[in-house]
Amino acid sequence: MIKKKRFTFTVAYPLVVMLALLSSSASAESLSVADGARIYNDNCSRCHNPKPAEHYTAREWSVIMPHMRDRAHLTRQETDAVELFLAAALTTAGGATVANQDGLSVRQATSGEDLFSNYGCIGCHKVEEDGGNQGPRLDVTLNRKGTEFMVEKILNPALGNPSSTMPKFPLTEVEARSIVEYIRSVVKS
Amino acid sequence: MKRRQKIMHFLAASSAAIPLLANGQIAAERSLISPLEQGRVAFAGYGDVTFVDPEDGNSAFQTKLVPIALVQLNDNIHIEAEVELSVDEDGETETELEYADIHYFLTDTTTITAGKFLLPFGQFGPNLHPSWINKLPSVPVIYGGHDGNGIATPLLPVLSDIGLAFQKTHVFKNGSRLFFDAFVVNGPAGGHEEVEEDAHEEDAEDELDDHEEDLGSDSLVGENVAVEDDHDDELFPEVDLEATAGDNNDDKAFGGRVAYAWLPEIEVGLSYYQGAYDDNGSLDLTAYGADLNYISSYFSVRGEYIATETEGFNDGGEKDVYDRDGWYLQGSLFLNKTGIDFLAPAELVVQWSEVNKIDGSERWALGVNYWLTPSVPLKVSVDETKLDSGEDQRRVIVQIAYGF
Repeated sequence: MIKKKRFTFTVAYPLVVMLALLSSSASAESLSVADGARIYNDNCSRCHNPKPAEHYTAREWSVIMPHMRDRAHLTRQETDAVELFLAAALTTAGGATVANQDGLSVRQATSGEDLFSNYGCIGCHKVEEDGGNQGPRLDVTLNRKGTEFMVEKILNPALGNPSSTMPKFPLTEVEARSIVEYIRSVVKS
Repeated sequence: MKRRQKIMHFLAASSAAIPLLANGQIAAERSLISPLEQGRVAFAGYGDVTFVDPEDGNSAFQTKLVPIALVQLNDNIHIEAEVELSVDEDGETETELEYADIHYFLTDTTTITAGKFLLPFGQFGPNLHPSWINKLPSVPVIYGGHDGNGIATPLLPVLSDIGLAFQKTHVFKNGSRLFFDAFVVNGPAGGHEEVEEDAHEEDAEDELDDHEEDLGSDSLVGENVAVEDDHDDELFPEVDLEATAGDNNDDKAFGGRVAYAWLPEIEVGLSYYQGAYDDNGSLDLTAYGADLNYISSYFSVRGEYIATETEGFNDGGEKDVYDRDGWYLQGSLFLNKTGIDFLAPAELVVQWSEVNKIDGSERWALGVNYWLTPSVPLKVSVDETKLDSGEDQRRVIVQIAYGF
C-alpha cells in the first residue's frame, strides 16, 4: 500500500497569505541601547553564548550584523538597536565623549545613572524586579559581594569567569564606581 | 497535482504575497544611520581539534577549519560564504562549500536568499551544528555529516542545497515572534537498486566499516544507506542529498519551517522537506520535523523529532514507502550557580538520540564542557551507540572548538 502524505498547498497558500497580512513591521517605537542589549542576548543565546562586544571591531560588527540578522530572523529595527548597543559598548559614547575648545576628545563627567542607562545594563541584568535575565541580578550581587567586587567585575568582566559574555565597556574606575553607587542608591530607595 | 504545478503555485503565492509583505516598505531605508563605523568585508568562522578514542579501533586526532567570508555590498544586500577545510585519513585536504549565497533584505522583516544555503529544517542543521555551538563533540544519530556521527546511519544530513529561499519574521505586540522560512532547491538524487540479499548484507557490513573509518568526516553527508528491514529482501532506497549544481530531474525540492518563539526562553518549530530523487521525478523523499529549544541563563533543553518517507519500488515492481523516524533530546547545565568560581565556566551535557526504524540505532552521550572564553569550549564526552545491525561502539572524545 502506498502511503502518500504530501504537503498540500491548500495549507501553504493560506499560510503565506496569512503571514503577508500579518506583515506589519515591528513597532515603530525607537529602541534604546538597553533594548539592543536585551535583543542581542535574547537572540544570540538561542543558539550560542553571546560573544562579548569587543570580540569584533565596530567595522567587523557592521558586516557581521546583517549575517546574524538573517540567521536569527532579526527585524531591521532590532538589528539597528543591537548596533546601537555594540557601538555604545565599543566606544566611549556612553561616557559622552565631547570635543573641548582645542578640538581634542575628552571624557565628560557623567552620572552613574546616565552611564547605567547609556551602556544598557538593564538589558541584561535585573535590579530588583526590572531588567533582563542574561546576567545575574545586580542588587543581589552587590549585597553578596560588595562594592569593590562590583567595580572590579565591571572593569574586567572575565574576573572569576572566563566564559562571561559581558562586554568590557570602555569605563574608567571612577565611572564604574559611580555605576555601582547608582545601583546601591536604587536598591536602598 | 503535479509537483511542477505545486512549485509554480508556491512561487506564485510567494510572489503575490511580496507586495503585501512589503507593505509599501520594499527596501526601506534604515530607521537610523548605523552608529557603527562601516566596514565592507569581515571574516568569522569556527574550527576544532578533536581526539576520538573508540573502544574497538584506533584513536586519532582530527581537525578542521571553517572560515566564513562576509561582504556587505550595501544596506540591503549581504553576501556570505563558508568553506569547510579538513584532512581525511589519507592526508588529503578536503574542502566543502557549505554555503555561498546572497541575501536581499526586501523589507524590515523579509529576506530573500539565493545561492547555496543551509536549509531551514529543524534547528540543529541550520544553527546548532558548528562545533563551537554544538554542546557535544558528537552529532545526534539522526544527523549525519559534520563530525562525530560514528557508526550510526542518519535520517538526514545537515541539509544544504542550491536554490532560493524566503524568510519572514513577525513580532507580535507581546514580544513573541513568528518565523517563517520557505525554499525551493535542486533537491536529492539517487535510484533504487536491486541487490541480492547476501550481497547486500556484505555491502551493509562494508558500509558500516566505512562509517567507522569515516569518524569525523563528511563522507556520510547526503547518503541514506541501502539496508534491509522488515521488508525482507527489499532494500531501503539510497538517496543522495548532497548539493550539486545539476539535477537529475526537473522537479525541485521544496519545504520550509514555521516556528514560534517566546524569547528569551522558548522556540518551537515545524519543518517540512519534499523532493523527487529518481531520474523520472516519480519517487519522493519527504521529511517532517519538529523541534524545541528551551534556554535559561544557566540551563538548556533541546530536541528534535524527524520522520522520513522514502518512496521506492518493491520486488513486485509496485511503489512502496519506507518509513524511518528518530529524535534527540539534550539537556545542559552551567555550573555557575554553584558559587564555586572555578566551576563557573563548566557545563554538563547529556543527550539521548535514536533512529527507530530501518538501520536503527540509539546513542547516549555524557559530556563536560569548560568554556575558556564564551566561544572556546574544551569538551570531553563519552558516548555509546547501539545498532540494530552491527557492533555497538563506545567512544571517548576530547575536543577544543573555537568560534572566531
